[in-house]
Amino acid sequence: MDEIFANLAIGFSTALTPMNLMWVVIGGFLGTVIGMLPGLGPATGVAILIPISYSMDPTTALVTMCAIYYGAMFGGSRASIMINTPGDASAIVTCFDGYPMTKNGEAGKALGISAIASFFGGMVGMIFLVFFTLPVAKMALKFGPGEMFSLLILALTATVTLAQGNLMKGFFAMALGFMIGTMGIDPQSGIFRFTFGVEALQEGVDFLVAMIGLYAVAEVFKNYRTVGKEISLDTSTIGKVWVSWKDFKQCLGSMIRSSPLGFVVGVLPGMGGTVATFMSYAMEKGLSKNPEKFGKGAIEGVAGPEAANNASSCGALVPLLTLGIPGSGTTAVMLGALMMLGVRPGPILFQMHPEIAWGVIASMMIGNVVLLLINMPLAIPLVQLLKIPTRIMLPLILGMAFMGTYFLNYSSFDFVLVTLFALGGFLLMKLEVPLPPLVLALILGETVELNFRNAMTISGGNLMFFLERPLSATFLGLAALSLVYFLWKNRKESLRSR
Amino acid sequence: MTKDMIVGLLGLFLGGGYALMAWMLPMSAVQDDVGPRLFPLIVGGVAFLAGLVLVLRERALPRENRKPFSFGFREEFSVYVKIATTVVAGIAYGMLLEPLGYVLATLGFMLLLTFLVSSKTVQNLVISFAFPLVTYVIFSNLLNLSLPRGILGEIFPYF
Repeated sequence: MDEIFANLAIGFSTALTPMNLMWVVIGGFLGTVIGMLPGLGPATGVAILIPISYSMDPTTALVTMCAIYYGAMFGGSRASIMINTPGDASAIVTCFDGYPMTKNGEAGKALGISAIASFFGGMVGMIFLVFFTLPVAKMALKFGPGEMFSLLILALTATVTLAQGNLMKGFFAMALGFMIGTMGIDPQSGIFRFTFGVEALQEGVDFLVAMIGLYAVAEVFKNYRTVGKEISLDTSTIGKVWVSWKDFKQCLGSMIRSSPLGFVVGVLPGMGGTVATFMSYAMEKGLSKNPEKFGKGAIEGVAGPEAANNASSCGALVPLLTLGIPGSGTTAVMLGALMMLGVRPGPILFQMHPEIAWGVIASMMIGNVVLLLINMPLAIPLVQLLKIPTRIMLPLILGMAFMGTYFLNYSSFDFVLVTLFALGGFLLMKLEVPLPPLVLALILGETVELNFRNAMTISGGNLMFFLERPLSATFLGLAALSLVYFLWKNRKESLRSR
Repeated sequence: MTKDMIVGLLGLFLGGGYALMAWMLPMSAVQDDVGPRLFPLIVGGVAFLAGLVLVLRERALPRENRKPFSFGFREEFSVYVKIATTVVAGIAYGMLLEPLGYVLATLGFMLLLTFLVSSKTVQNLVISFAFPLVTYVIFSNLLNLSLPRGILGEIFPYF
């Protein structure tokens, strides 16, 4: 307990520097804007804004990225409420009751409660985060290559099994990610693999280049379908962005219930804001005394999911910071960006540079407050941004995406890669192949292979090594369990539909 | 051809091809190391197996249950034209960035893209000229990141 407070003290002293405070505000603001605009998700936003962090020291860069990530969680629901179009997947559920509230003339209340619930969920999530990180980081220090390999396999398998979709297509996506990741020089033997004689591929494919192609540009392709069909938005009738005490008390229960739920869901790889919000909505509707109000403007239907969403983004930071394992596309981008800056999240970070790790945690707590302050009074001006038509947004997004790509490696060949990844990503989306397993396999591939080979060296080529060590066997067992869970869940679905 | 069948075939071909290429890699030179072949072989195997399961599962479905998949080239022709144009634009941008310099290349890129999605000439011109200039100033001068100067750099050496 004392240790936690001591670490928090270090964290706050790092976070409260003027530079870091300034970037929390800027990052939070940019994140809110990005999260708000449909067609531009937090993963894309973080990827494109990375060049800004180049001139910063690693802590400030990490603080800024977390602020953007976090801001996007606040902003995503704005578009859901005002124009029934979610800013990202985790804001879909907010459309269910948020938009009806706008139609009932209660837009101000909806915007207000979504900001307050986000703050609440974030605070609870941060408290859990603080208590969980230290023990997990300490435990992770004892992991050898065998345990790391099995843990990574567990994380990757969970991404396939816990998410929706076809199991085989998920594993295909994962394999594809690994394949792309192995292109380039093999760090342990020094030979070139799968480079097809192309010199530019010798260093391999930059993960962030792939992400910008898969997420930013492919999204633009998807949005080409709806360009020109603009939705009208009337912002004059929003009214005051405020929530009465009575409404707040009504939502208190749903916020208190949904926050821990969101946190736990966020920790698990493969499940994030989207699942958390759906589960919260189902729970609130099920527990409510007036379930028929849900879908017509029930304020709990906005408060619960919003709290769950922010709590889950805190939960997702646990495996990222303590183990270096991302659980979603956005956290994968953050990991990629950090590695580029020379920071390697994981137990070593907590040991060698606690001021970086705890500085980030502390600044997110500050960020939570800052974002609440940004989102309440500035809600109406911010919402005006939703009026920008797609035909202006899309070229701007592409311009920013390509510019951001250039700053990654100063290589114009990367533009070709971005375009190819965008085409591939679009194709995969059409074929309903899930992208998260691909993305995670791509960024974790090198680590997985490294640990695999090291473990094999230690064991002398014995594949059973992974099952002989208890912790490693537990992880693999859990992975198998998640497979069983998936098959059982699908068996129930197909039986029901008969 | 259903969606899953296409993915299945992709799995078979990509997985198989990848594993084949992995097989042709040299074995490890260092005594201890497992070698650069093992992991790729496993990965290729996983892709191949996943593809196999998908193909077999689709063939086992009765005729009626198969949902044919089409890209919709005919129905959504204009969308695909936009996508194709963007792809060409992206590649051209990459090739012309260094010779023409950031400002000119981005100008051309933005002109192409804005006119692709919008017919409001004045708006498009404003955006296409403003974006590269504004971002050049912010990133090159304020944040001190280097952007290619290209032809304009020869003409205005002090910017």
